[in-house]
Amino acid sequence: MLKTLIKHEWKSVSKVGILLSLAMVVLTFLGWLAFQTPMWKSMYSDEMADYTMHFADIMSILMLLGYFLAIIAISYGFIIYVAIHMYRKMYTDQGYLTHTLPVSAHQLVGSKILVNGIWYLIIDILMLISMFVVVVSLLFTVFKGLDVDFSALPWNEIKEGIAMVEAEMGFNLGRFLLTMILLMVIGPFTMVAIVMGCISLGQLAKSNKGLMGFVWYIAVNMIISIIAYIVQMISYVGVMDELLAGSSYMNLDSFYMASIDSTIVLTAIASVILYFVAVWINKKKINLV
Amino acid sequence: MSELIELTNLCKSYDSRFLAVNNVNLKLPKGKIIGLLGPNGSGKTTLIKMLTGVLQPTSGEILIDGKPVGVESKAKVAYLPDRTYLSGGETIRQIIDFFKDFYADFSVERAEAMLQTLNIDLDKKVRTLSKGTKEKVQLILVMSRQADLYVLDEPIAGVDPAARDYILRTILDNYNPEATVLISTHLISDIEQVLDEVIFMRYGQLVLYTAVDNIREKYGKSVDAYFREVFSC
Repeated sequence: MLKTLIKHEWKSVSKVGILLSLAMVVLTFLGWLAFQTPMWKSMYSDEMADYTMHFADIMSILMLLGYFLAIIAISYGFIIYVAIHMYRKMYTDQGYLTHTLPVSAHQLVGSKILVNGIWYLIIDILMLISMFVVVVSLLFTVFKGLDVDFSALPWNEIKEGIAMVEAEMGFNLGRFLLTMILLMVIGPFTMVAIVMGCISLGQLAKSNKGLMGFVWYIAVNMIISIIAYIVQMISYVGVMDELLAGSSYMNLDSFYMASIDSTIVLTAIASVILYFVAVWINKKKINLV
Repeated sequence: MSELIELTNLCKSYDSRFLAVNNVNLKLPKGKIIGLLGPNGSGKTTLIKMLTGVLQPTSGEILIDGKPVGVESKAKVAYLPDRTYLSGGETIRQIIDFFKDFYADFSVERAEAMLQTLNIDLDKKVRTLSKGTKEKVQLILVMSRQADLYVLDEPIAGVDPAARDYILRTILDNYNPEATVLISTHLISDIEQVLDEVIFMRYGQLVLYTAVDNIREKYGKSVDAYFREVFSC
């Protein structure tokens, strides 16, 4: 039955998912288009000193502003859609169908987290690709004017420079990138699981159940932030101790990475706990009135 | 074991002062059409919701075919709630697919035939249907199952007499004869000719559970007349 649930949840969410993905493609095109005005092309040339802005340049800046706002709106908009979608399917009149299906609470909650998490991940990846395309388009437009040969850049020196910074600051770029990738991959699933858990917790309230779900969401995020902040402070004290003891470099790795790692671990723990909370509520405490 | 439903000391309270269902003990057999009757607020819908698993009892036990309410019981119970759960941009065909995928006892042919009789276009989106049509589609979906237990909550409330006839005909023509049909209503006169047994409820308590023939023989009255006598204000 899990497969069947996943199939139907996928069908149900894919309309919005595809629509937002297409919106992302259109936005990427607009973002690229925004850098094709004369202003960007002459940014590093001699013409820039006497350059007067054209209507197209003003439009370009507005388009870029709109691009970033729309990208943020899509990402947040999708998670708001997911919250409303799950709430409707499970705890409004539609719940009378959902909760009379011959499926277990694990299957029900798990399928929703999996499918919505996958769609959130797709949208996140598209957002990154879009931003990459826009930034590359900016670089190519601007540096084309300078006639920069990218292949002639001193890549070895850049590499050595990064290695030196890594050694001096106690910072590992590879580990940092891996952590970011991990964060990007598990982030959507933990986010959806937390939303699902909080919506379900809201059902334990006597009234204003939807609102109480939102209150739970804020509370859970506050708790995660507070614990992460405490961990950050502990590692900050550690770094300061090392400096006061005469260390020649700041150990950024233990400082920033402890902060990022703790946020990832705490979010993962919270999402697992809230998954089981959602399952327990759907199994033992469901009360559709 | 001939009992399909077994309720033991079943209670449900929404707050500490009021019991919506108060210590109900009941055993319902297989193969009967049973009317769950009572005035508004008597606990009929609460009882039905607990049977179908959308509401959790405060205390007591429910067994359906010897098993507690869960995945297995839900596969055997066809439930028509007192509200419309169909909504959104899905077509009726897609909803039929949904039922086919989840319920092994669902007959696509039967559902399509019934919808055709009503001239309902399968490719129509649910959101474009009127409330009455949605209710009929929902009834058709429920009655297209070969379930062991049909739980119908107020299926004829708020509809015109013609629609009422259609609904009753649909129920009688399509239910699995070996199954039990539990119909909750307060419109007794419309339904009493099809009932085998009746349950009377008041203030969340079981007042009476007996055969319809028994009421006619013992009190010389129709179920409707006897109901009015028992529940007179």
